[in-house]
Amino acid sequence: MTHGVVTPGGNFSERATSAVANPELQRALRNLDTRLHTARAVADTTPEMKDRAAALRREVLADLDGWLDRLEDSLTRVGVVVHRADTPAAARTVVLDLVRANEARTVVKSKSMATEEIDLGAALEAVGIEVVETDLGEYIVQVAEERPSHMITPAIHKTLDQIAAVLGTRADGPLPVEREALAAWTHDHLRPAFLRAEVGISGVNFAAADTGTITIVTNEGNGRLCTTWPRVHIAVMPIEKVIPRFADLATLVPLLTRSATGQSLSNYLSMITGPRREGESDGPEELHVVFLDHNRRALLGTAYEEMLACIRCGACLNVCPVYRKVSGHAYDAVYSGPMGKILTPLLSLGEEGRDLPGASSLCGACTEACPVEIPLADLLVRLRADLRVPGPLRPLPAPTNAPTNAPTDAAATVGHVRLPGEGYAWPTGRAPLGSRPAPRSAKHLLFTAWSRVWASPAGYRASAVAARLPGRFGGDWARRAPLVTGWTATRDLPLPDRRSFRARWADREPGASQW
Amino acid sequence: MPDVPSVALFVTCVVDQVAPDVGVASVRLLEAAGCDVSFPEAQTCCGQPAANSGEPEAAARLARHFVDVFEPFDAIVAPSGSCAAMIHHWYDRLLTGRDRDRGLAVAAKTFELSQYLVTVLDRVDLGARVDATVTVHDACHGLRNLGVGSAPRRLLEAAGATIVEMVEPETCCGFGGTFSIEHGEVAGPLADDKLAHAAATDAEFLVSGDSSCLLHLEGRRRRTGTGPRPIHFAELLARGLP
Amino acid sequence: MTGTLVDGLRTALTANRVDVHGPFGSAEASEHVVGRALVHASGAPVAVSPADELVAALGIVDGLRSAGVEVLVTGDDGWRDRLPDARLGITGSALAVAETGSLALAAGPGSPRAVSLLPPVHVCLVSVADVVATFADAIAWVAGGPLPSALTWIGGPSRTGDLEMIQTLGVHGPAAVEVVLVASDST
Repeated sequence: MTHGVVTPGGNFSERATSAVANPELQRALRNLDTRLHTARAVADTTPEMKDRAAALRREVLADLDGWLDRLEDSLTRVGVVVHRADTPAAARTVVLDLVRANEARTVVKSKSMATEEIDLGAALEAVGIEVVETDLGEYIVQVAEERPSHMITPAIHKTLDQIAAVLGTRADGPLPVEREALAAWTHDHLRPAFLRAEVGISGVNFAAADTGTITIVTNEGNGRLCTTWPRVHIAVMPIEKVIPRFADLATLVPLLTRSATGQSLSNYLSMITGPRREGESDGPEELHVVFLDHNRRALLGTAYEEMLACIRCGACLNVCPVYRKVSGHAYDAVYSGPMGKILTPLLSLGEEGRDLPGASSLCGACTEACPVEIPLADLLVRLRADLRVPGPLRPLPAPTNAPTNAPTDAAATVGHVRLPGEGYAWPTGRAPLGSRPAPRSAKHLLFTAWSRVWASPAGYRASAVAARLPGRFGGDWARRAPLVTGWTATRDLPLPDRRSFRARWADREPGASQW
Repeated sequence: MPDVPSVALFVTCVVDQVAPDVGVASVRLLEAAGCDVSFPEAQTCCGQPAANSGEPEAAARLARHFVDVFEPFDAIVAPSGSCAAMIHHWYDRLLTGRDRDRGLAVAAKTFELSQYLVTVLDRVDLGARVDATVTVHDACHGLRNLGVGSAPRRLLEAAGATIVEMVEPETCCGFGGTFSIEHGEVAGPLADDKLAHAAATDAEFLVSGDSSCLLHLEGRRRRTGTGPRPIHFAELLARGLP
Repeated sequence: MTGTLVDGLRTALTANRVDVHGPFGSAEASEHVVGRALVHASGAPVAVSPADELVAALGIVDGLRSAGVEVLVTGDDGWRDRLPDARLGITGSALAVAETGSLALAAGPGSPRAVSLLPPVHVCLVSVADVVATFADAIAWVAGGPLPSALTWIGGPSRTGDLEMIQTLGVHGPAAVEVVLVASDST
C-alpha cells in the first residue's frame, strides 16, 4: 500500500508539503472546487432537513445499545445472521470464517469505509482470496495499490490520464483517455468477477431497527451486483449506522445524497430486508451483518459522541480549505478531512493521527456544512487539549453546562450564532482527562506562563515592551525570525508597531473631539 | 438605546500591538456614529490563542480577566470578528459556575464593530467617503460564529465604495492562529488563493474585518507581489471621514 | 393531478438521462415494448420479470414470443447462467417518484433483482397511477406494508463521478434505461 500522491511517512506537515508541491494532484483537486461545488448548488440541504436529520441521529445516540438490540431482533426475524465485533480484528475473523466456510475463492466488494477501517481486503488477500473492489474509484486505487483519498470519490486525486494509465495495466493494451470508454471497459472487465464471486461484501449506509432493513446508496450499480448475485452477502456495519425507523429513510437518504454529491437521490438505493426468500430466483441465500464497535461505545456520554452522528457524506471534506489543498493521502489515515482528523485519534484511542487535530485553521466551514450538525471545529479544539497528555486517549464523560442564571441570554442577542453542540462544558480547572496530572509539555508551560503574565495589565505592558525590542532595529516586517520559522518560511512577519494603540490612547488630547 | 451610546473598546491584543491604526480608526468610526468611547486600560487578550491551541486552563484564566475588566460596561465593541466570537462561543464552554454566568452576560453585550454599527446602532452611513473599488474577504469566525455577513459591505457601500465580489469570499485565508505557524505549508497556498481571487477582481483593496487575517495576507503579499492591498474596513472608512 | 405528477416524473427522469415514452393504453404499450425489444435484443435473449403486475397484465411475455423474441424468465432452465447474456431486461415497477425521477422495484418470486441490473438496457413499465409526488411520500407508502426482500430504487442509467468528477454513464448497471408509461385505465 503506497500513499499515492504524497511522500509517505513523516508527520502531517511533511505529507502536506509534498501534496501541495504535486502539480498533477493540484490539477485533479481543482475538479472538486469546480464540479462538485456546482453540483451541490443544484440540490443542497435546507436548515429544516438538517435539523430533522440531526435530531434523528441524536435519538439513536441517546440509546445506542437499545437500538442495536432492536435492530438485531429485527434482522434475526427476517433471516439475517448478526455478528458482533468489538475490534477490527474480531470483525476480520468473522468475515474470514464466513468466507472460508463457503469455500469462496473470489470476493467482490462494494465501497465501504467500514471495510477500509478494518483493512479487510488485505486480510482476505493474505489467505489467498481474490478480492475485487468494484466501485470504479475504489478499483482504480486498488490497482494502483493506494488507499482511497476521499470517502465518496476514492480516486479524486487522479487525473483522467493517470486513471487510464492505471487501468491500462490490467488491460491488453493502452486504454483511451476517454471517460465513456473507461467506464465501458470497467463494465466488461469486472463483470466476470461479479459472476464468479461466491461472496459479496458491502457496507451499510443505514440500518432500520424496526424492520431490519439495510440500505445501501450507490450510483454505479456495483453495490446492487454485490448484494444480488453472490450466494453470500456480508455487510460490515459500524454500530452507529442504526436508525430507529424505516420511515426515517425519507429524511436521511436525501440528506446523505444531497450532501455527498448534490443529487436529490442517488442513482441506486438498495433497501434489503433479509436474504432471498422462498420462490425467489436471485439475491443472497445467506445474509450476514457484522456490527463493528471499534471503540465507538467508549465515546458515548462524552463530548465526542457527536462524531457517531456522522453519516459519511464527505461534505466536510469538500468544503475544508485544508483538505482541498492536500487531499486524503496527506492524512495517512482511513478517514480524512475534518471528520477524519477527529475520528482517527478517537477510534484508535490516541494511537494514530495525534497531529491531525492541529492541522486545521478552525475556519468552521466543516461545522457549517455538516448535514447532521456535528460541531466539528469545536471537537478539533477539544481534541487538541485532550491529546496533550501522552498515551492512550480515554475520553471521559464531559460535564454538561447547566442552563445559566445569567441575567441576559447571550444567544438572544446580536452577534451570536447558535452553533451545534452547545451544552457541553469544558472541564477546566482540572486536567481534561480527569484525574491525571496536567501535561508538562513545553507548550503547556509556555501558555500557562503567558496567561499568567497577560492576566495582569502590568505583565501585558511589560511583555509588549519586550516584544517591541527587535523592531527597534529594523522596519515593520521581518523576513526571518526565530521560533516562528513556520510563519516566515512563506510570509513576512509583522512586527509590533512602534507605538501601541494604548500608548496612542494615553497621549490623546483629553476632550478632543477628533482623533 | 441612550442618546449617546457608551461603548468600551476591546481593541484586541493584535490591533493594540501590531495594527494600532485599526484601533484608532475604530474609535473614529464609533465617535462618528455618536458614541462615547472608553478604553479600559487593564484589558489584554480574550484568550483565543490558548483555547485554539488546546490549552483551556490558560484560556480560562484570560477569559476571567476579560470578564473582570469589561463587566462594568454597557457595550463592548471589538474590531475583530474572531475575538468577539471567542467571547460568544467559547466563554460559554470554558467557564463554569458563576464565572460562566458572568461570561455569558458579558458576551451578550459584546459586538464586532461592523455589527455594532449596522445592527445595534442602525447606522450605515457614518459620513465617510471611500472612492475605491474593493473586494471583501469574509473572515471565518465573524461570518460563521457571529453572523456578521453583510455588515462590512453595507458600511462600505454607504461610503460610496464599489464592491466587486471575488470567487469564494467565504473561504478561509489560511490564517487560523497557531495553524498559520505550525502549518505554513498549507496556510501559504491558501493565502495565495485568496490573494489571487482578490487580484482577479481588479479591486484596489482587499478588505476584511480581522487584523490577523490581514497581516497574514499582507505577509504573503510581500513575498509574492500578488493581490490588492489588504486593509481593515475600519481603517479604509476612517480615512474617508471628514 | 395525475397529469402534473406524470409531467414531473417525465421531467425528472429525462434529467436523469432516461428515455420516457407514453403514456400509452395497454395494447399500445405492449406493442411499444415489443418494438423496443426487437431494437435492443438483436438476436440475444430478452430477460423479463413475469410476475411484475404490468408485465403480466399487458401480456408482455406472450407478445415478445409472438414477435419471435427469445424470452428468458425465472424458472427457465439455466436462467442464472443465461441471464448474463441477455441484452435487455423488462420489468414493471411498484411506484415512481415524480420529485426525483426514481423507480422502485420490489423483488419477489418472478420478480428477480437482476433483470433490471445485468442486461445493458432496462425497459421499465410504470403505471401513471403509481406515481407519487415525493420520496417521502413513497417511503411512507412503502413503510405501511410488508417489505420485500429487496426494494431497489433506480434513478436512471448506471453512472459514476469517479472520473474527474464528471458524471459518466454506464459502469456496472444498465447504460440505458427506458420508461414506458402506461395509462391508468389500462390495468
